[in-house]
Amino acid sequence: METQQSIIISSLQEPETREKAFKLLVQEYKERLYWHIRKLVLDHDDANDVVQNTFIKIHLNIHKFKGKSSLYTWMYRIATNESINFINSKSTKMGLQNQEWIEAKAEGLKADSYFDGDEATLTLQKLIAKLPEKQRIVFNMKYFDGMTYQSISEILDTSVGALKASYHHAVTKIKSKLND
Amino acid sequence: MTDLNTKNPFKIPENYFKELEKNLIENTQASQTEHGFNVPKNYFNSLEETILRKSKKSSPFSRRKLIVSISTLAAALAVLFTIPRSQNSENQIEEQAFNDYLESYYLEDMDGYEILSMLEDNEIDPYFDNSIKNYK
Repeated sequence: METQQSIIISSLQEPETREKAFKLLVQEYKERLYWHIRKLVLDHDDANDVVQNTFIKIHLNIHKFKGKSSLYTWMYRIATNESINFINSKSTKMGLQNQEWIEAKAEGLKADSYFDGDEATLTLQKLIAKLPEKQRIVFNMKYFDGMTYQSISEILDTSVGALKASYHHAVTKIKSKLND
Repeated sequence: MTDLNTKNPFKIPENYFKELEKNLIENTQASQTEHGFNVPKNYFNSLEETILRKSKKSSPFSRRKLIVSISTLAAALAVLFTIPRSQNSENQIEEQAFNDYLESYYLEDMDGYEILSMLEDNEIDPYFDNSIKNYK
């Protein structure tokens, strides 16, 4: 894995092999990044815009990647930031707070042709949308993507302790709402 | 009008409607799902093509981008160095010309009275008031 990553990185930094290596990178990571983004922005068309922007940013900035973290962690960080920026931009244009915008998106899931979750899944999404932004991101990464606190810590640049607290608060809030 | 043939003159390929139904169902069906979220069928294949197409346009080393960047930088530098300098030099020229004019044509041949006569009363009074106070 480490060797494959270093081959991809060195190939991306050479003009002769860049395009081929980037194609490999897209093939390898497009689905994982898409699903991460999709759970943050909820809507397929929005996720499509964000994942494209994410890969363009990766393409433009790959020469800045220093290898301090894994390539996947670095790309995940870009995807997360792009998702947050997208939500900021959309909610600002509509004169809403980020959370209000996400809650409205979650309310619209029932009518979304690209969402076929049952009633429980829909309820869970609506409750996740009510969480503060940081807790929502941490909850998605931990609960759905099964990421370790260490990986989340590297991506969000937050201490493991703070992440554990965020996740705990998120789970407690969701459980309490589900029991109501 | 009644003599006209009312038979439909248009034709369709064989099994068209069967294929149409199949294609429509395939295209509208979600191909993959994760926690209730779906994507259109073949979405990830088309996504890859779109990203690769866009990345070629946005290459950090593209010639067009390089030319635009250099042109922008050159324009910015031109603005930075020409406008303040021209304003400064214009101001300096105007000030110098005014001083030259006063010295050569006005003040050289004037005595104190003539200079005072050019001032308004309210410009003279504060000067004298202050002078008187200073001498008190």
